[in-house]
Formats: sequence, C-alpha cells, structure tokens
Amino acid sequence: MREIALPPQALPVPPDREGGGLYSWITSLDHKQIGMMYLMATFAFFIIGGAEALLMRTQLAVPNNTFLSPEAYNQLFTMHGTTMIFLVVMPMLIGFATYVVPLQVGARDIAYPRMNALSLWLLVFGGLLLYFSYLAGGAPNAGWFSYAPLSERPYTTTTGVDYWILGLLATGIGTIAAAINLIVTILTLRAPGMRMTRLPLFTWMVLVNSVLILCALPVLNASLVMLLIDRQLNAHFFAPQGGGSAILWEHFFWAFGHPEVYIMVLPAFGIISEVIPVFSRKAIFGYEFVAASTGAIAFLSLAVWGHHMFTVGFGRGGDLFFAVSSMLIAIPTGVKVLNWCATLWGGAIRFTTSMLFAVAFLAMFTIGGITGVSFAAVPIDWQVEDSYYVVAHMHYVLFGGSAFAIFAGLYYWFPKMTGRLLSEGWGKWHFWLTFVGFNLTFMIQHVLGMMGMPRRVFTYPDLPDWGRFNMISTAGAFVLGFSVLPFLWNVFASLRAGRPAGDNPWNAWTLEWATSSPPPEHNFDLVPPVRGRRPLWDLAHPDRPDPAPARLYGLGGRGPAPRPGDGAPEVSGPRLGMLCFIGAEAIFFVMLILAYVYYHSAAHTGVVAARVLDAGRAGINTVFLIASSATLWLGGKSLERRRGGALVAWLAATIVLGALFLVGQGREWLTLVQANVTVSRDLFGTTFFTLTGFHGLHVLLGLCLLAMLFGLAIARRFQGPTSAAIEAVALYWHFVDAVWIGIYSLIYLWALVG
Amino acid sequence: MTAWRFVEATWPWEPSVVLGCGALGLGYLAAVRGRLGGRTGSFLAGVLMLLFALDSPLDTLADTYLSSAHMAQHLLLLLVVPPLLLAGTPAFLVEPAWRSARVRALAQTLGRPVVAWTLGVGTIWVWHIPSLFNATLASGGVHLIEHGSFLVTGVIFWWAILAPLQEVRLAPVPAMLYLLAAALASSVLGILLTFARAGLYPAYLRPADVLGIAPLIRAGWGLSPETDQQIGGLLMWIPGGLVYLSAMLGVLMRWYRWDAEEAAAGAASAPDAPVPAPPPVSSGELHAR
Repeated sequence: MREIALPPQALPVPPDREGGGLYSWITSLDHKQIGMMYLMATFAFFIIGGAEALLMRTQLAVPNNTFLSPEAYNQLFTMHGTTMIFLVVMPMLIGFATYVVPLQVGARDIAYPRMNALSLWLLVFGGLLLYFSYLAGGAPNAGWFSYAPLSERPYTTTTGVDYWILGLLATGIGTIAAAINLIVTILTLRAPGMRMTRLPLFTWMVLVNSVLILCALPVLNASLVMLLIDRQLNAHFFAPQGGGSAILWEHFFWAFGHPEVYIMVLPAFGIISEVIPVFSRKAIFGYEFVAASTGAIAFLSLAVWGHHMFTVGFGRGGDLFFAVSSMLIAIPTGVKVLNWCATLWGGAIRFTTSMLFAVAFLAMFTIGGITGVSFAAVPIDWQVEDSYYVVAHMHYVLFGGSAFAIFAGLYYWFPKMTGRLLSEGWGKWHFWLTFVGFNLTFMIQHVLGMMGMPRRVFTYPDLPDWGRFNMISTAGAFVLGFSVLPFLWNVFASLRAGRPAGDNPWNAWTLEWATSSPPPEHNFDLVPPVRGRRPLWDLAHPDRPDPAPARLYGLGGRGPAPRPGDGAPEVSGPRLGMLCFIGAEAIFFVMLILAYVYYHSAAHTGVVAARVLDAGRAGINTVFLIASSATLWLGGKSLERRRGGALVAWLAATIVLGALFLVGQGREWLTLVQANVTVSRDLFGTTFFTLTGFHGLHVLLGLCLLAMLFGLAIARRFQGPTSAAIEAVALYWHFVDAVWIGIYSLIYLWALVG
Repeated sequence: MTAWRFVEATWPWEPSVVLGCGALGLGYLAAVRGRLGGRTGSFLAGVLMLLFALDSPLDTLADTYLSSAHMAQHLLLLLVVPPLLLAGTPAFLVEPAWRSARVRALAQTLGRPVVAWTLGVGTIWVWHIPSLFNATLASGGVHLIEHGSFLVTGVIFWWAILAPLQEVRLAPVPAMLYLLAAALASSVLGILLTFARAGLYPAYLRPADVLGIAPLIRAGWGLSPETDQQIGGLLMWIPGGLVYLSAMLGVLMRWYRWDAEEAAAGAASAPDAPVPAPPPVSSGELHAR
C-alpha cells in the first residue's frame, strides 16, 4: 500500500476508550458496536420468529390437527409476520448499514451517534413491548396487517392490538431516525474524492432506501396513531359502524406496506452488489444501470400499493392502472438481475459461503419476483389472493431474497466485524441445509395455493394431497429450523478460536477493507485516496486503475465547468438532518389531512363544521403563530449581528407567542367539547381533534426546543454569526407554522366557503 | 358515429392556436438559422404536442365531454410541452437576454427551487378547486388564463431541471428530490380525484351533446361519469408520476455522464494530485465535530 502524506496540520489521533464490558456496550455510541448489537438483537428475534413458524407448521402438518387452538394460531401468525418484518429483516439491514456505511464512505462515525443509539434501543424496547403482550392478555391476533374492522374494539377485545400498535410506533420512530442518520452520513461525511457517483453500491442503495423509509414509515405511524385513537378513544377512523371506512385502513396500510417490502429488499440488493463482484473478481457490470434502476424501483414502489387490494373493488380503471404500474416494477428489477448475471459471466468465481448465498439469492429472488409479477395480472390475483400462493411468493422474496442476502452479508462482513474468519466447512453445511429446507418448505406451497388452500387458517380439511403437501412443507420447515444450528456453532467457535482475518481477507476493493479487522474506534488511521469506484484496486494497481465509466446519453448537452474540491459536501449536516425530519413529519401530516378531507367530502353525517368552528378566533391564533415565526427570524438576524441581548429577547417573544397559540387552541377545544363535539362523537370530531391535536403536540415540542435555545442564549453560548442549532430549530418552527396555515385553510376557511 | 368519424369530423383547426404554434415553430427555426439536430427535433416536438393538446379532438372531448380527456390535455400542457420546449432551446438563444441584470434577477427570484416548485405544483392544485375548475368550463377567457398559466408555470418549474444555461440548473441530488416531491404532491391530488365521489365537476355529469357522440362515449367506450372521473385522477397519478420518474432517471444518467467526463479530465491533467484537505469546521458551533 502506498504511503499517504499527512497534511502538515494533522493532529494526533485521540486515544480510544477503554473497551470491553457489558456496560460499555450498552452505553456505546460507536456505530460499529451499535451495528453489531442490531445484528445480535435481530438474530435473537429471528430465532423467536422462527420458533413461532415451526409451531404453526406443526399445527398444519396434518389435516384437522388439534395441536394449537385457533386463538393461539392467530396470535402466532400475527407475531411471526410482525416479528420477521419489523424486528428481523428491516432492522437487520439497518444494522448492516449502520456498521458498514460509515466505513464505506471513509467517515469516522455515523452523523448522529446518540440518535443512532436511540434507534437501536427503540428497536429493542419496541420488540420487548410487543412480546410483553403474550404475558398481558394475549398477543395481537389480527394479522400482521391488522385489517379494520377486525382490529377495532368491538371485534378484538384483548389488548394485543394495542401492544402491536405501540411496539410498532416505537420501532418505527427508531427506523426513521436511522434513515435520517444514514442520509446525512452519506451526503455530508464522505471522504475527499468520494463523489456521489463513486459510491459503493451498498451505500447507494442504503441512501435510496433511507429516502424510501422517510416516505413510507410516517404513513405507517399515522395509520397506527389513527387506529390507536379509534381503539382507545372510541373514534371512528376505520370503524364502519361509526361512519368510518375499513377500506381506508387498507389504503393507508398498503401505502406503507408496499414500499416496506422494497425497504426490506433494497439493502439486500446492495449486499449482493458487493458480494458478487468480489467473488467473481470483476467490477460490477453496468454500475450506472444498477444505480439508476434502484431509484426507479424506489419511486415506482410508491405507486403500486393497489395491487394488494385488487379484490376490494376499485373498478376496471383503477385495477388496470395498478396492474400496469406493478408490471413496470419488474423492469428495473430485471435490469439488476441481468447486471449481476453479467458480472458473474467470465469471472473467476470463488464459491465461498457468502457467494453461495448470493448466487442462491439470484435464483430464489427471481422465482419470487416472477410469481410477484403474476399477481399483477388482476384475474390471476383474484384467484390466488389470500391463498398459500401468496405465502410462497412472499417467502421466496423475503427469505430466498432478503434473508439469503443477509446471510451472504454476515459471512462477508463477519471477518471485518470480529477479526476472525468463519469456518467454510460449517458454512457450507449451513448453506445447503438452509437451501434445501427453504425450497422444501415453500416450493410446494405454490401448488397448495393453486389448489385453493387459504392462508391464515389454523387447520384444513382432509382434501386429496393437501395433507401430504403440508407434511412436506412442515418437514422442510424443520430442516430450515435446524439449519440455524451450524451457523450458531460456526459463530461461537470462530469467536473463540477462528483464524485471524487480517485487513482484507476477500481481497475486496471498498474502503471498509482499508482498515484493521475489527476497525479501531476511529475507523481509519489513514483514508486511502479515492479516485474511482474501487479505491483499493486503484491503489494496488496504479498502472491500470479502473477505466473511466462508459459514455452515456442523458438530458441536455455538456455538463458545467469542472468544480475544484472533489465531492466536498455543499449542504450542512444539521440543516440536512432537520430537513429530512421535516420531510417525514410532512408526510405524517399529509396522512392526517387526507383522512380529514376524505371524511369531509363524504356525505355529511352529524356535525357540520361551519356551525361549530369560529374562524375568526382561530384566525387570531394563526396571527400569533405567524408572528412567532417572524420573531424567530428576527432572532436569527440579531445573531448575525452578534447582538446576544436582542437574540434572547426575540427568543422569549417567540416562546410567548407560541404559548399564546397553544392557549388559544386549548380554548377552541374546550368550546367544542362543551358543545358536545368530541373525538368519539362523529367523523368531524375524530379527524379534527386528531389533526389539530398532533399539530399542537408539534408546537409543544417546538416550544421545548425554543426553551432550550433560550437557556443557551442566556448563558451566552451563541457567538454568532451563525448557529446550526438555531438554524435547525428555526426550520422546524417555520415548518410547524406552514402546517398550521395549511390546516387553518383546510378546516376553517373551507368550512366558511363549502 | 364511430370513433374514426368523430376524429375526422371534429378537428377544430382553431385559427389562433394554429397561427400561434406556426409562429412559434417558424420563429424558432429562424432563430437557430436552420441548424437541425436533436435539439431542434425536441423543440418542434414540443410545438406539435402543443398543437395537439390545444387543437385536436382531444380538445373537443376535453372542453365538453370527458374530464379524463381534459386531464390528459392538462398533463400534456404541464408535463410534456414545457420540458420539450426547454430541452430544445439552445444556450445561445438565451444568453443575450441573460446579460441584462434585470432579467437575471427576475430569473433568479422565480427560479429559486422553493418558488419554482410551489408555482409549478400549486398551479395544479389551485385549478382543481371545484369552483375555479367549473369557471374554466363556463368561460372561455378563464380557460385561456388557465392554459396560459399552465404553460408559464410549467416552464418555470422545468427551468430548474432543463434550463438552457447549465449553471442555472439544480445540482443532481436536489434536482431529484425536487422532482420526487413534485411527483408525490401531484400524486396526492391524483389520489384525491380518483377516490372522490362522482360529480366533483358537475359539467361532466351530463354534457351538452352538440356533436351527438354521447352514446359513443357512454356505451361504446364504456365511460360512465364515475369511471371518467376515476380515470382522470389515475392519469394524473400514474402516468403523471412516470413523467417525473423519467425526469429523475434522466437527471441521474446525465449526472453520471458529466461526472465521468469531469473525472477523466481531472485524471488526465493531474494523476498524482494530492488528496484535498478536509473542510474546516466553522466557528460559532456549539459542538465541533
């Protein structure tokens, strides 16, 4: 490795913390330890979710079985699905990203270390809260997608669904925080020379995936909140008997649910895009196309949720549009698969365990993808909806796809994380048992689904072949269950006495392999120069670096003049982080607004908004809030002129005006409640109080932030001319004001006009 | 009356539209002095699309009979014509105007991403408010203002992505987010229109059947008012979204191409360039990272 000259003003690296000990792990802010804890926690949940599956398969092994009661079975399939999706696949991929992305971009740590720890512990506690439901009256039993009205109070009297909601809210907030963290890391903390077009594909896919998380998870959070309000406060969002719409729950949930499945698969694509080139000893074929198709998949995934609802009755027009857009998603996915195959072609393939899982991924995911495209044909969907064909499809893409990719990633990065190599012998046992068990379990379920076996049934009648096929599936499931044991043994034995891995056991080319295994706390002593997509290749082969990428056509002529300063970040970290958060919150509010609009435009039952709302009084409130934005802006100006006293005064004015707004809102609510307009009375009450209530909570949060700034300003901590903290809080406060202007126009002005 | 007879019989050949498009096309050809190429093709395609949108059976259907046809017309005016016209405008046509400071100031105010985005997306939302939309169907003048506003705000919106002068365009990542946000915003409107109750725009419930094609539309094509409104919403949502997606992909591929050229130029000139110094930490921060 060539020596890199340190710049003259380089400072000595501070000594690392004293390591070791459970306490240092629990309080760790190091992205590597947090990433490993993600992997450990999610693997534990994987074992539990797998046990739930084995119990279900035991029940289904023979017809008319009595191993489990229907109630127990319902709880198991709900918990199995919820666990695998929210506590295993999604957080495991986030855990990989947390560990690998800062290393791959050459950063010292992730952008917000404390928020990173928060994400991890929200996952752990959200999962524990969800599982506590077993002890507290029964686990949720309405399916992992908890359709209304089954999940509403009259039909589910136990508290299981409430635990489901609260557990998912906790993990959902953690996931959004992780996405913000990753976006800011990738956009602002890259090593010099690592332009966005030189990003390793895993990092690029994590970036696109994080944007998708910001689009989709707030939709889930809003839906969960609305369901919780229905259940706990007797509201009527999704309860048909109160005028609500159960179909609306389906729309809201699948508007989250479909992007969610792509969130679970995009980082897996990233892992495969790292593993296949390294073990074929070839750079990936068609980098630009793999990157562009990732963006296309993410975008299209936001537009296809209707294909989960073909049996709801959209009408031909709606069905047709969703069918076409669902078929379109196959194109970018196919582009990726073909590029991976082209990478393999002509390469010097080395079948390590990681590569075995990656190649198996290609085949299994393609099978799952093809059955998925078959669902886009509406008549086929009508036949196989809610049958075992769906179960087979989803497991091929989620297990044969995401889980296989996760295993490939585990074998690939385990040496980096621990400094020890995993045994290839045990690894191959693990792979083959998994592969055989997986296919034995799920391939036959395609046939069962076609034969008409419905899903989520605790038993089935003794129809010809059903018993035999289910028995095969159960046998496969147990093989799959046992396949975990060689892996666990492998990990245990390697941690104790595995061969030392060295910096770069696979001779790979991305930056995480340019430091020791495991990396020191500060990640890199020296970051290699980045002049291409494979920095370590360029370093090892200075005579033949990676060729410049192929010429591509695109919109519009020559580019701008070359900029000096390779890939320097143009946007500040705190500002970007706050903008991401605002984006997520904006989508959250859009969902609540959509609910209001939906019910307001339907036939009016109950309260007519115009009769009870006082637009004038609310208008005065609005003036207070807008004025508070102005005073905060003036505070920012006085900071620019380094006038600390004026800053304190303007901050105080902002807080007072914000508090006046909240008082005004409280009075508005009191008036309405006294006129017997409550959350539970009718749809207007439900939607009005939810929307304005959440806005009020955001104002309250803003006031707390402003109070902190006020305290800091009094303590003369702001030197000026700029402050990232004030700028970030100002962005948030202006956003909250903008949302109120929208809400005011929508609710009060519309009531006056319409 | 069959569909083909309808197409034959109802091409309006509105003089103002034909003359206007003709003038635009010929004026452009004169300005580029007959230099033909891909760019010229793009501009002329834009002019043709404009002609088709404003002066074809689509326009006839849109004005009276079908809200989905009206939606298709608007989508052409907002999402197809402005990008084609902008992509077809070479830099040297704009540079003389750009030298004037006032023009530059105006362009910079209107061209700020937030402003351009709000104008582009807001125009779409505002014109779908039922009272305003119905006014456009009732009055030709309001309709003209509406179409004019679509063209103007369309150009303002797409200026950020496709301005003839390279340095004025948004950087790739902000450009992709700009387009994504616009796609989401117009999708939400499309969703609302798809699932709204029928009769949002009452003029389409029972159109005045001057041409005698109502049976063709209702029975032959199977478009009841409910289906028609639903298709209108779906057109805005999905094909509209696809236009934004294509633009995002175009921006991405353009970015990779520029970057490759830049990298090749940089590597050719300075293969042993030292690693640039890390960016300085700004003072006045509460926490230095």
